[in-house]
Amino acid sequence: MDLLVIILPFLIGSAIIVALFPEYSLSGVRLILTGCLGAGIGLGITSCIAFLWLVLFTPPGGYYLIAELCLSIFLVLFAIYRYVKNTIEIEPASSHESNIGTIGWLKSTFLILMIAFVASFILIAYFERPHGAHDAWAIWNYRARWLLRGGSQWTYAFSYMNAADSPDYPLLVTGSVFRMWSVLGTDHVAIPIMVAGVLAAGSILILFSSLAILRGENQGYLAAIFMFITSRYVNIATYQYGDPPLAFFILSTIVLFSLKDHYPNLSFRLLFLAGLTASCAAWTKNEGVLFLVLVILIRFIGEIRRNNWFGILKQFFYFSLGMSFILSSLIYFKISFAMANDLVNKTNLKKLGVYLFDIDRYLDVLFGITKKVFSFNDHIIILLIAYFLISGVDRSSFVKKGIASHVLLMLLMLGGYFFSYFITPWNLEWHMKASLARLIVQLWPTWIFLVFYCVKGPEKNLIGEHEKISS
Amino acid sequence: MESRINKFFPGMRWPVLLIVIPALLIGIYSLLNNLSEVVIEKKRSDVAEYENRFASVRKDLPANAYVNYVTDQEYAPDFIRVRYVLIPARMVYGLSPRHEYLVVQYLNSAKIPNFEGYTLKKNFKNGVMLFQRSR
Repeated sequence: MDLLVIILPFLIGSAIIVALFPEYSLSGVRLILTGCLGAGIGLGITSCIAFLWLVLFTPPGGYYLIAELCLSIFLVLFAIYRYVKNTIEIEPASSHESNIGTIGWLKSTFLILMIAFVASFILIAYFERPHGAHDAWAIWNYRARWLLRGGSQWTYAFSYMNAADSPDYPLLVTGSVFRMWSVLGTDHVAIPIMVAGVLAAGSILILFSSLAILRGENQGYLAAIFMFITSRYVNIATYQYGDPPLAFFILSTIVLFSLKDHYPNLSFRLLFLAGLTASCAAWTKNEGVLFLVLVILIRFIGEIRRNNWFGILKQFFYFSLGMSFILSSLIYFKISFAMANDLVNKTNLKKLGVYLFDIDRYLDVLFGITKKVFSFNDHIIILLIAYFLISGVDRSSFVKKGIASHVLLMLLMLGGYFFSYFITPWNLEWHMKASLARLIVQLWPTWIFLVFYCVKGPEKNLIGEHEKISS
Repeated sequence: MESRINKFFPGMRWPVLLIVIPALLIGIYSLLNNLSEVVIEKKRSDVAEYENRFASVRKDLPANAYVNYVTDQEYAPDFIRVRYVLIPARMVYGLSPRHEYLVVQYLNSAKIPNFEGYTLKKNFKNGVMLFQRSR
């Protein structure tokens, strides 16, 4: 039963992806993308089901597991049926660099660093801080424990009387931990560690596999290797907070939109999946709600001028279909259980009129964010900028597709963070010090994806070199 | 220099080394550093200690009841840990309003404190004590 409760989310998520892409999802590097996206989406869906089961019936137990098992068997059989029916593999338009062979030592470096990453994570997460860090026992696992141990009075997890920090936070992390604890009947520390580890390592593997599909394996390895330099990322992942999981879903959504831009024949299926991952982002943390709104604004409303209404509506329909289940659960949670947000609420928004003309506050927030971005992880951004400038941008039309909208989306996310600090009721300096590094982590894997998506690959232009030699 | 790099890494552009070398150094250093912290220094988060220290008192507290809490430790980090390990007791910091049970954690003194209106129910001999209202 222990293994089953862990495997089922992965099976459910992966079966959905295989059923959607039977011709592509189980071969080569795409298998890694399927597995990682499947694990994340599976956690999103099962945490929703577990929460609704708790609301409607009892805490998840034996019957819940049987129901979830039936769902996964149905989805797996459907995926197998779709896979067998689509035996002919139609290659999507290949990336312009996919014909270049893999650099062997780059692959070995990636594997060595991946092992070091996993070992470091297990050492810190399991032995040094098995209960995570402050917010894990103040927010994330605190609420999961209340849902488990609270019995008939589990709603106390979201009560005013509880006075817990951020009780309005959505439930992907809390719900996933609670689901497994409840079925197993014990609140073992291994469960939140596993949820944190799967999503943290998943981001790195998604970064690798997506760039391997879009720009060739070498570029994928290099981007993943760059993630290993970000030691702050592994550190925050061991805290068992919601930020690395949110980073996972933001990256997944951007990757799916990039794939959609390049493979129009898969457009609607990718949009369905992007709807699922974007809604998982919203189900993870409140910043994910901002992300979901910005995705709709930029990728659909912003595209109306360039595309016809009907085409955009059709795309949005598939995106909405993907996000419908998790988003409706989130709306239900926010209306029925969540308290008002501590940052965006009537009282704070009223202060906006006062702050609006306070130039010093603008400068304080702007300076604070800029300073933190540059000092994040021992000034790693300087290395990223240096690599970007030295390496140069790949100017092929393949790379240019959709990149502007992704960059705009990420900049608007930063704008959203600026706004939340701007209206914060807390001491600004303290608030930025306590949270800004984690907000950077939320966007960090996506920024790395975008940089490595744009820059030239690690290989020399062999054709150009050859021509140079022969002339 | 580029020709030297080419000799060792044929087919690869040299800026790649800007990423690979620091990644290898940082990755291996981090692993060794974490290994030393866990194995040699035996660095551990104190929440696990709280779990052990409060395990017995948790069994004696009625589920979902409001319970007062008094300590000689620093408020915020201590109370948040206690609140977490004693779920499903609903912890209230301080003595106001007064509830049926009072959990006390005195780690800096061995003396058993007195609280007006409460009598000692159990001393767990690890700094944790349970008091009940004497009416």
